[in-house]
Amino acid sequence: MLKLLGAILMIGGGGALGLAARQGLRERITAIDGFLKAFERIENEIVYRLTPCDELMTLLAEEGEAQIQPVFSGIAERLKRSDGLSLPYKWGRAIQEEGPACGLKGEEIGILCDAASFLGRYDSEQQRHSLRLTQSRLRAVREEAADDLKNKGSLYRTCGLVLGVLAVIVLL
Amino acid sequence: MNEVKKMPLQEAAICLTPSLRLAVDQLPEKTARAAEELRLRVGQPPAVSGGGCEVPLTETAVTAADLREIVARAARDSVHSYADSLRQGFLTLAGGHRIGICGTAKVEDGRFEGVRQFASLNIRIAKPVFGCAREVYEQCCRDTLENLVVLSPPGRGKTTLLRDLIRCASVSGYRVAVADERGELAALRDGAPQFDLGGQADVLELCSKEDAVMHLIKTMSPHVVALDEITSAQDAAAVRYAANCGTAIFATAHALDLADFKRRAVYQPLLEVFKYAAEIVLEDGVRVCRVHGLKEGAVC
Repeated sequence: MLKLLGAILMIGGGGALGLAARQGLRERITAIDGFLKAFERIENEIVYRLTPCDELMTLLAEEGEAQIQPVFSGIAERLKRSDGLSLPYKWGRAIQEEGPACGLKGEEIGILCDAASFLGRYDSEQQRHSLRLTQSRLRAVREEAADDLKNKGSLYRTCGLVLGVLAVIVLL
Repeated sequence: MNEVKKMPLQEAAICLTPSLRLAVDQLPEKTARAAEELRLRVGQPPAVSGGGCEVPLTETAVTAADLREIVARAARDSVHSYADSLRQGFLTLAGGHRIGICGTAKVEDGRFEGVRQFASLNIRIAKPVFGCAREVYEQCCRDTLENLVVLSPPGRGKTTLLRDLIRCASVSGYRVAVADERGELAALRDGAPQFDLGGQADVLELCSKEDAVMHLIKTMSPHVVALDEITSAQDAAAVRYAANCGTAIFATAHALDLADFKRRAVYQPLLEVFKYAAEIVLEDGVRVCRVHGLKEGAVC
């Protein structure tokens, strides 16, 4: 009975590991989707309402996609501090510090950090062009992430279960 | 804890890059107090000008990236939010300081739409002179508000005097409508005037004087309308419109002296409007204001 319980736990544990790895891939896509939506909002606010960036970051921290809200909260918090540091620096720091916990990986973190080089620094039309470029780069990464989920997602889950079964066999 | 009051130069330097700000902080106090402008030109060392001379701030030449960074900081990292102001070629800082921008113009449909590539910045340091118009105000508006024009060549302090006249009228309880076409009188930032105009001043900025006067009179029912730099026939028409509506007028005009003012064609229709002309002259290098009556009954 004890052996059966142990075997179930090991298979379950292996499966959970596989599912966690799959979930990581899924979170990455959700985070990228969140940023794509956020950039749409940023574009509209900048072009049509001329909203200042500090106000915009607070808005996204409160009303943006839940998964990436910590990133915008981090930027908004940093912008409130009058420490003489520039928006690109604060944006970059927040993305790098909060991004991984939200599911972002190196590639999209790099793209998002690049966005700081134009955000708030040019007129709305120039920013619109740059925002669209960033969005298209993010979409390309999203497609890759979706392929990863499709190809590797089930593999991770199966590998986890197989790992559990193998461990049970070896131990028995 | 009491906050240490910053010098105007340090207040204006808040938008500079950290290295330039450090250089400003290290300036001798005398130079810092006399500073009137900070000049930043790509490829040239930054300079502080004041009292008729220009002193280099550092030896390192300014780059285009520095200027972009300074403008972004001045616009609180939201250049797009200051589009209207940038279209006129300047940005207003907290404290009323102003950044003038030069470089490659952005032109759309033949109209100047601002500066695309920055080549030089001129940070003009605002130094309001409280009470400089007190005597003129008391002399001309002792019993009731009268139409008054301030005359001088550029750079003598017409705008500063007019600003203080507005404050005098405003603190005396008169509603003052300010048609601030260049945004120099009030220097609005986020809706708040960066200069003290008293509690009774309503400002409409970055709008032609003609439109502004009509709008202000219709919507704000002012006792007096203030306009800076009457330079064209349209401006003169705006003054006449305000006068015909029964409001008093405080204005400024470029002229060498009163005789020059009377001679210029654009001001001819206004000679009947203004009761007083306050002329700013230099006497031994000191600015002095002389009031002249333009109409019968004007007491000087």
